Order: sequence, then C-alpha cells, then structure tokens
Amino acid sequence: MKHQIRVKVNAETHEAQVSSELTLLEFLRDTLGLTGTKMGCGNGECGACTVLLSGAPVRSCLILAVEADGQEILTVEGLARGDRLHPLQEAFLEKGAVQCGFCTPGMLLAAKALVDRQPDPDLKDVKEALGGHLCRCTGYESIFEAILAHPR
Amino acid sequence: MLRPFDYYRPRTLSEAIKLLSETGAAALAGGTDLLVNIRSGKESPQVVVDLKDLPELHGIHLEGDKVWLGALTTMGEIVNAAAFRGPLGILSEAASVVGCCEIRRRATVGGNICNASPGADTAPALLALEAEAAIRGPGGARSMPLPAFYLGPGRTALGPGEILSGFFIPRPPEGSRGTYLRRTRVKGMDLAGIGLAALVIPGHGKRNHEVRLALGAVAPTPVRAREAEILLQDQVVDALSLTRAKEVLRRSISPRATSLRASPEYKREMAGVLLEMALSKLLGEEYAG
Ligand SMILES: Cc1cc2nc3c(=O)[nH]c(=O)nc-3n(C[C@H](O)[C@H](O)[C@H](O)COP(=O)(O)OP(=O)(O)OC[C@H]3O[C@@H](n4cnc5c(N)ncnc54)[C@H](O)[C@@H]3O)c2cc1C
Ligand code: FES
Ligand code: FES
Repeated sequence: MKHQIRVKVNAETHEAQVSSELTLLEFLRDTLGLTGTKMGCGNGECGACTVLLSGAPVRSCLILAVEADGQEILTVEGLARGDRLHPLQEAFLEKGAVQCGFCTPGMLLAAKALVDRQPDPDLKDVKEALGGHLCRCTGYESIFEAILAHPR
Repeated sequence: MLRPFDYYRPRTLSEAIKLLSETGAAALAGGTDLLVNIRSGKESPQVVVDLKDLPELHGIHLEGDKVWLGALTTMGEIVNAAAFRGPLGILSEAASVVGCCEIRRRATVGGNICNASPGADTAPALLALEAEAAIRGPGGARSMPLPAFYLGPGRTALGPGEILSGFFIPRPPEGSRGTYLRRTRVKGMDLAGIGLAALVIPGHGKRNHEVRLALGAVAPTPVRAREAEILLQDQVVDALSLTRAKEVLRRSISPRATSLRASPEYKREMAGVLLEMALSKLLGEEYAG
C-alpha cells in the first residue's frame, strides 16, 4: 500500500510516495540519499539511526516513514550552517570524539537535543542523554568531554 | 526491509475497531515492540492500525477520585506529568527507567501492558496502584482489574477488535509513598532481570499501614505478592517481620529457568533484597529492620 507524505527534512520540504512498511530510516537513506544517518542494529538498541523528529530524538529504525507525515526531521546533514560546522561538531573534532564515525551522527543529534533543552548540562545529564547510544571505538570519555566543553 | 503490510491511521474509534476486527490486523502505538517483532518475524500482520489519532486514548486527568491515564501516553509524558508525583510517583519512577530517552519518547504505557512481557517495567507499578484496564471494542466499553487483563506471556484478555483505551487509577491516600526498583545486567539500557514495586499507605500511628507489593520478570505475568503483603500489613516492620516476608516472597514466585537475564536462584534472592531496600527507603526511620 502506498501513501503520499510530506515532510520537512533539514528545512527542505519533500513530498514522496512511500509504502506502508518503509521505515523512516530507509526513507532518509534510500529515498532521499541522506546516508549520514546509520543503520546499526535495526532494533532500537544502538542509537546509530537517531534523528530529531519535531525536535526530539527518536530511533528512525522503529518509526514508519508514513508515521512521520507532516513533521519536521533533522539529520546530521542539517547540523552545519553552510561551511560552518555546528559547535558540537567542532567540539567532537577538537576532543577526538570520532574514530570510525559510525555512532557519531546519532551521538551528535542526541547531544543537540540535550543542549537545546539544557545549554549547560553536567556529566550526569550527558550520560542520561546518551544512555541508549553504543560506541565501539572511543570508550565514550572523549564524547562526554566534547559535549561538556562545546562552545555555546 | 520489513515484510509488507497495509498501514491505516483511523480518526475514529469505530473505524479502528472495525479494522482491528479482521484477522491479521495489529495495533500500532509507539512501535517499539511491534516493529521489532515484525522485523524478527515473531509477528507478521497484514494490516497495521495506527492508534495515535484516536482522541479517546490520550490524556491524563482526574475523574472523580481516579486518575485517567490514556493508553497512548508515552513514558516521557508520564515522567513529566504532575499527576505522577507524590502518591502516584511510583509510576513515573518506573517509566523513567524504560529503555533510553529515544525509546521513552515513543514507547507508550498501553503498549507496555498490551505487549504483555512478564518484565514490563510499568506493570508492577500499575498493579500496586490497583489500576483498572479500560477496553473499547465491537461490544462497547468494558473494564477489568489489571491482573485479569494478563493471561500469560504475550497474551491479554483483548478479543478481536478490542483496544486498550487506558487506565483508571484510584488515587492512594495523601502521604502514601511508593518506589520501583529493578535489577539489570548493565547500568545502561537493559530489560529488567527482576523488578519490584512497593507502595506504603499510611494509617494512624506506626502500625496501621497497608503495604502493596508487585513484581516483574518472576512469573509468566507481572504479579501482586499478596502473601508477603499480609505479613507486613499493620505490622511494625522489624527484622523479624521482614525476614518472614522475604521468605514468603521467595517461595511465592516462580521464575522460569530459561530467562536470558537472571537465574531463578538470583531472582528469588533479589526479590528479598529489593523488598528490604524498598521498605527502608519508604519507611525511613519508622523501619527498624
Ligand atoms: C531498545 C529497547 C529498549 C527497551 N527497554 C525497555 C525497558 O527498559 N522496559 C520495558 O518495560 N520495556 C522496554 N522496551 C519495550 C518497549 O519499548 C515497551 O514495552 C513499550 O512500552 C511498548 O510500547 P509501544 O507504544 O512502543 O508499543 P507498540 O510496539 O506500538 O505495541 C506493543 C504491542 O501492544 C499492542 N498495542 C499497543 N497499544 C495498544 C492498545 N492501546 N490497545 C491494544 N493493543 C495495543 C500492539 O499491537 C503490540 O502487539 C524496550 C524496547 C526497545 C526497542
Ligand atoms: S539502528 Fe536504530 S537503534 Fe540501532
Ligand atoms: S566512533 Fe566508532 S562506533 Fe563510535
């Protein structure tokens, strides 16, 4: 079954025909070609597919594209302003919080949701916000540091 | 890729009931269990009926001496709701440990109960609060106490076309205090190896209190622990009454041997430990154990 949907992704409006079972993650990656959002586990457990849906972090592997109809989505591609990286992206580079980079888009979006809500989080807040995000490379410390030190 | 199905998002309850009356139809709330189950092949609905536009399933408000909690209320909304502080705070404590921020943003309390996992975190809290399940379906509206709603692992009293619309939760008397404690394998995101909800309803003076206990992940469904409750009812909780209650609690549960998260021996031992932790937290200095 097909559905006509209209979503705003990174401030750009898209209209598309999607089938019922297409996930939001597949829509972003395969239909729109926005491959910054990663597919890790596909079961809600790793956080790699995290995007902001109407400003809040969600797992795009557990949401149908048709469920997102009429809503606004922010992916990692929408964080930078032209050539200027988002302060969180700068901080991740500065602190060496990226190794293979697979978890990074999800980490950045969860962190953005946190600092939008709470500009000066402490370590406990950061750990809470990233509680559902796995990183197999960094050992997390550099990611925590980057978020705590990001320029405001 | 998920196996193909047809998605509907009805605007009215009667439409939703009609769609769900067909064989092969599944209700969709937050999707954090359903989509995982479709991907793994555990469920393969032909029709998925999204409930999110049904006004009857939303909202938190007072109705007489009960609080109405719509089935579509998310864990995140429960954590932030003023209604779930104080005597009803036990539910927000339970909702706050479900998954992670992203899961709590989508996961609903109705989905948590309808999925009927023995370890569902909001179930012990709702059992201790004596919540009633409100159901809408082809035959109209009916309601039942939560224990009757649970038939077994993954099985509920919902018939074809029936929808859980929400819960009526009687407000415990002012001064009642509850807590939900659980044990997981890791500090981060994990399902409960065992969970215990305790609610203490004060009486007059030291003795006349009521203690309600409910456990998750220790039996085919979440369960009230009535025998242990009786031993603590109207008692000064001291080392002796606590030891007896722990012993009864250990004997009254029947954890399955094949759990991925914890052995039956561990669960029996932990049930007692969590009970002691909960009572010392709730009774404070009154507690002499
Ligand atoms: C990564 C991850 C971590 C998790 N961690 C936890 C945890 O710590 N604790 C915990 O308890 N659970 C956890 N869960 C499980 C899940 O998130 C919860 O059970 C959640 O509350 C389910 O709600 P939902 O709205 O997403 O349900 P859905 O997936 O939409 O539905 C679940 C089931 O209930 C049915 N259903 C839903 N609503 C209704 C209704 N109103 N009427 C009739 N039928 C209905 C659906 O048809 C389906 O069978 C986790 C899941 C994931 C993916
Ligand atoms: S891919 Fe969605 S959480 Fe892992
Ligand atoms: S940088 Fe490789 S998974 Fe996090």
